[in-house]
Amino acid sequence: MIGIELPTLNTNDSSYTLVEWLVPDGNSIEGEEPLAVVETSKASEEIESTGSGILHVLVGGGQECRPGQTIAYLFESAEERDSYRASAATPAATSATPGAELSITNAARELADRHGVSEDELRGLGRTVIRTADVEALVRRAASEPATAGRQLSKRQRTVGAVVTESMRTVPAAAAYAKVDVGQAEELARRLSERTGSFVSLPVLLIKAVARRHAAHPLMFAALTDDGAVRESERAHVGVTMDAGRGLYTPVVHDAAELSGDRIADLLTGFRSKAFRGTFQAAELAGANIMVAPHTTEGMVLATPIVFPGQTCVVSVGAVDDQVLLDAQGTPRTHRFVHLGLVYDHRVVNGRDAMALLKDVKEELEAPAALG
Amino acid sequence: MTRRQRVAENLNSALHHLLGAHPGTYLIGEDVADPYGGAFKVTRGLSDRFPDRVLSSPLSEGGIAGVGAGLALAGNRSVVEMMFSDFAALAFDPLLNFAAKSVSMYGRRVPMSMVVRCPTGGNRGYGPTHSQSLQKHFLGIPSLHLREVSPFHDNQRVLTAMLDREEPGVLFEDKVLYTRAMYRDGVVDDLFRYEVLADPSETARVFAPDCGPPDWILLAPGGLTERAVTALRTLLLEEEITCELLVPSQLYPFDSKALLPVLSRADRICVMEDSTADGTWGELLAQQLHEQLWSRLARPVLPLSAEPCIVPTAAHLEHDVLLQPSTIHRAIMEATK
Repeated sequence: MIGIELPTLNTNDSSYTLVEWLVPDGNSIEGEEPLAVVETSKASEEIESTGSGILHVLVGGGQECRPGQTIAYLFESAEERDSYRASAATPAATSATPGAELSITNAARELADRHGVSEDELRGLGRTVIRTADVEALVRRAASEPATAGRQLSKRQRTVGAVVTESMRTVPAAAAYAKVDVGQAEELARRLSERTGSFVSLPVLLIKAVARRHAAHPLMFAALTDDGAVRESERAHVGVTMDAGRGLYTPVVHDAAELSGDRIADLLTGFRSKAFRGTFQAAELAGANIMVAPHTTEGMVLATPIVFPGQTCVVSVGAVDDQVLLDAQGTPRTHRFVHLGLVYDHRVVNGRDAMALLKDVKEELEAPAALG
Repeated sequence: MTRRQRVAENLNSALHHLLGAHPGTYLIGEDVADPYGGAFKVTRGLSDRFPDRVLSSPLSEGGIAGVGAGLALAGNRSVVEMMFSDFAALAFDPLLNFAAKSVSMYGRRVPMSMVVRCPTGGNRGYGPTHSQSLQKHFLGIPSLHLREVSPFHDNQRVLTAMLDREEPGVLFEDKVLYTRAMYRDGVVDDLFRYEVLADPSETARVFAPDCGPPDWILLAPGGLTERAVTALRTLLLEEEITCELLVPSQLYPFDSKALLPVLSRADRICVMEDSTADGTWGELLAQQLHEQLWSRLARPVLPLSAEPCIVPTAAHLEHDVLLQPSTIHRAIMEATK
């Protein structure tokens, strides 16, 4: 590679104008031949090639250049030029845009270095000149933000963020809540667990209870389409929210109404282990037409989840809460209650439909024989 | 991208326009005719186009200034070129005692459309007799106005305004500027921008964007632009002292009151020039500004000029005598403390 430097043509000039290239960029040069026309304040002069090779232009026509500046390279081969171009940070013959450069005072640069402020952050201020006061303001702002402010969210959480934002943006949600006596359901869950060896819990029974009411409440399992129609689903595929510490997943119990309680329990156990390891397969996460969101940590009363875009409702359940009531004989008895929540897309269904589903699910759980 | 016009080209095209637009316009000077076209090529192509009105003369500064004044007195427009402004001293008498006085000496106002062009200044190693800046010697003469070429001011507009004033005027042209490019589109360089203010002297204001009110305002004639901007840059980037530069097109008369809103934005002001110190444009300005701004200034107006000695030929000695970016930088630094 040979550099072609602009000779000093006129001592009174601090810069010349490169008028035009006589040989196009990338052409082959055979030896001493005129390459470019350069204009000084006195005259136009031709710059001759000092060797042969492939011309690579660095300064475009019409641009100003200084005596001694390298205005082009001659490469031995096209391959050499290509590899130079691949490695060169700046493309050839760029025109300098005034204002594109950031000017940073020495004191500001020193302060920025001391506080680890990057040039990109300085550029983000949108100023052409950066002085100490600007860096100080940036440092102060950074200091007043919590220490975790700079932590990048995981890709998974950003995906969750996109979904909930979309939900908040598109789904006008309303909610209804019910109080359910789950004494019998707990008893059933305990018996099923003992008999099958599976871990049958209240959420398992809830999933089945919701699925069993699919036929009676098809709109709750429907998807709203763009043209204002709803697409109902043939079977109840119940998604369940699950977070084992690696972020939120929503695996799906497909055709839940057809599955036994212990089968659903086994599925959930498997899901939990996959949520812990982050090893779900796409099919396990796809196809839900309703969602169940357990918030069963002790002391939780209820929660209001978001409706996933493409679904119509989500059922949440809180933790079991003991309550002492007097029975018909006036004897105090302990009852076990949970709160059920139902958040729904008000475009598709109304409060009446929501309460009807809640009432049905409540009935299923309070008389749970069919949930085994 | 079209290339920027050089100052000499801008002057040349302005003269082409003047002679083309007004048939009564004459250009007189030493060796101004083609093919020489003047020592700095500013009159290139004019004698070929206007052979009857571009008059090449021998060395005769006093004589051609008198002819120019006579043409103006007879109702023509004249542009007289001093090959070097140092020899404008020979034209001092016709300017002071004939041209300027003729405007008001005959009982009625007599239009005197005449411009004396003076290639001025040093930093080119031309020695004691070809490097001076004689602006101060022409100051304060009634009806004689002074302008200076700058990279901000289009010379067609400047020369037209000078001739339309119908009073004799002197246009100082710093020789270093001839090969420099005219600024355009409000851009000086990557750091500085400029705007031309609407005051009578059509002052150009050079500033760094986003910097708010400046620490200093520097006033300088056009020939100092490049050196002043270099100092502005180092003062900002190295010392974080923000300065704005004001470059008027017209040096005298100078309406400093019209600039008060701009000047009041800083509490430190510096005036600079390439004339030798004492009795100068900058000192006149400093006196006016003291009167108008003294109550709000943090320190007296700082005057900077060339050393009070002849301009040496040797480059390193000339460098020390004339105002340089480093001189400006150092002086502002010390006066900021």
